[in-house]
Amino acid sequence: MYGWIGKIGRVDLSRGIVTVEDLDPMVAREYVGARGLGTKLFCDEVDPQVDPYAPENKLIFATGPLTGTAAISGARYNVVTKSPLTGAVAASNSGGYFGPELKFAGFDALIIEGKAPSPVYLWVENGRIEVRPAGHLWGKTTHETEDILHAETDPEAKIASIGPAGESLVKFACVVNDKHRGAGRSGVGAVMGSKNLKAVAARGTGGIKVADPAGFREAMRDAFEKTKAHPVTSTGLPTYGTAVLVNIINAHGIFPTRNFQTGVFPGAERISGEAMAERTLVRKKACFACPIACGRVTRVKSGKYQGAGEGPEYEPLFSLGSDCGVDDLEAVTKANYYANELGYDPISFGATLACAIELYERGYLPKDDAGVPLRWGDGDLLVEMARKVGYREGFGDFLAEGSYRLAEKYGHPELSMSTKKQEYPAYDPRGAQAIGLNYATSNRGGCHVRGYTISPEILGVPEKLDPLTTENKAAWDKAFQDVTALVDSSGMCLFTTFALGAPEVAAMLAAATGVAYTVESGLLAGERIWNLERLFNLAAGFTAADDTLAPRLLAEALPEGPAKGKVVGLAEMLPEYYRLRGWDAEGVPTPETLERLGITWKSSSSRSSVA
Amino acid sequence: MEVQLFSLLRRLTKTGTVEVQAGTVKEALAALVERFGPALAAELFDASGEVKPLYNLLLNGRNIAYLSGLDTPLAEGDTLTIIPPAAGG
Repeated sequence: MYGWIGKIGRVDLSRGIVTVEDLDPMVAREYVGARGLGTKLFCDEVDPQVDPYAPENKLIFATGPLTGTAAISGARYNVVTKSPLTGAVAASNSGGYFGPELKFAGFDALIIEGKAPSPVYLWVENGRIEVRPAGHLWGKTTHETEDILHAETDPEAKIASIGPAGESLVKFACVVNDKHRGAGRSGVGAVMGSKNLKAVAARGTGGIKVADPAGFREAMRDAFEKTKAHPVTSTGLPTYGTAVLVNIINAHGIFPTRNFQTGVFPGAERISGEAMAERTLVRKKACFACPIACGRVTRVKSGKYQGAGEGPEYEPLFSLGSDCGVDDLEAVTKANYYANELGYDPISFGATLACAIELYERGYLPKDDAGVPLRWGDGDLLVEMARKVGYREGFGDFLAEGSYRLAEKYGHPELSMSTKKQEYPAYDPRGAQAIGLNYATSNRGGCHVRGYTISPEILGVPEKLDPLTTENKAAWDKAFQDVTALVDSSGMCLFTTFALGAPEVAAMLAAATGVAYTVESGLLAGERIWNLERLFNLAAGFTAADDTLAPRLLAEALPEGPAKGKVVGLAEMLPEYYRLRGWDAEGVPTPETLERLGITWKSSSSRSSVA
Repeated sequence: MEVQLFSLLRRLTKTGTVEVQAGTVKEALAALVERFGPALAAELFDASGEVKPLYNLLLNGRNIAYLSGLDTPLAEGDTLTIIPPAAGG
């Protein structure tokens, strides 16, 4: 095959058996790779009713046909499983260097099933997969694990691992690769921990064949020139990284603050990208084949939060910063280092701590449970809990369940700022209506990167949309969700889409794979992937009632700022969204839609499968 | 009134906020160019003298694209925010 390697590794951890299978070219063509391929393989093999921590749940590492090629930002891989946080299908996406290395080692995807009787790691090298004992790694941080495995395998190996958070089944534990990149959301690291799988180390010297080398070079040249010419990808993102958004989103009055009680954070300037550039930035850093280089190597040079690592990105600046009322950049940075080293999603952690503080402040959560006073703006509390949650130590054990279960425990689930039990990211949707619809309909719960409509509503890319209105937002959401599913499945980074669109992605896919991808067939693949995720979730028990938002966002108006007085007009957008998707009033894809997309869902089967 | 400058503009002007006297957004931009010179003009305007399309200008947090554009009137106590092309996630 071209673009794809054509091989899938299957590891039965219960029995310690490894097999290598051929990738079905039809499946590859229809579901592309990474998120799409992983989801297709997963839905074919796993009962949607499975307990996420049962051996029957599977964990799939999947790359795309452009991963590891010279395509711009072809660095990505996805981890697909059933999420312990949401109960929905999770596809968690990461960059760095691990995904390309997995392909160089000879695999498009790894399907990991069962549960090892004791801790193990996988050593993947040039077409071979070995299950090795990992008792000596259990309890180690992700950074320690990488250092030990580099010494034990190959200094050039690329490693994806879990930290103590994944081992102790923190519901939002992530998989960390290359020390600072994370398949961050939905708790995929906890599923890895439930299987006693500590790490996957990959090393390969194989190449990736492309079908049309001259056409691929031309498509890459075109994409590279557009990326270098676009003000966002040539200058905006590289200069300050994602943290540049702190001041911008705060100026729009949608920088979520104190558990989404307001969208204006007085301390924004102190945790901004501009402040990072002055105080903590060491240098920029790029993922594989990326000319944008949005990563930030940072250091807290002295004081009680001293440390070194990467980030924080924009999202943790919200979740660990404004959402907890903390404007101490060094404290936020230190907490973010803990998230990377202990291996959990800082969005869900920070949002859960913010929820806990509000529960405490309102008198619902007693001090005896928390152990210490929970107060807004307490950097020491943030850093202490950032460590404790990774080990489920003390009140960290409460936080490790995520905000919905925490708030439900104290009788106030409405104070969890989440959809499908996954915490919202860094944009208050009351002042950006389309992202509200996207949060409500995202197949993995509260999430911004399933359809990043902040781009037109706030940043004016590709065109300006009034963020306060609901008109036509359903169409924008559907379009963004479908193209995102395509890009996520190609192996490229979503950040390329500030400069590139479906035509450029389709051109690179076609030249790399030899499959005649067009804009139409590419977007149809994206729509197919979206609907397959939806079908899994419906079979797992979700209904249209889950396509909603926290009551605060629907009923409590923003109290200040440019969006003062606004709530999310979800009821104005959702019926139109269902109609555009070809779903019935209950949010179920119609038979005509499934036929158009070429999906057959055998929901009557005890082992649900998609043909 | 106050003008907030973010990102690259802050680097260029070496300041985050500027006080200007202006009756409209267009006048405020002219006052800024007068103060900071051609380097700022080259950053803000394209060859035809239009504000570059990926710039966003906010009056009290509301994009002027949904007000009266460059003719949007300014009043004492207003904040004009000028945002160069930016993105994140």
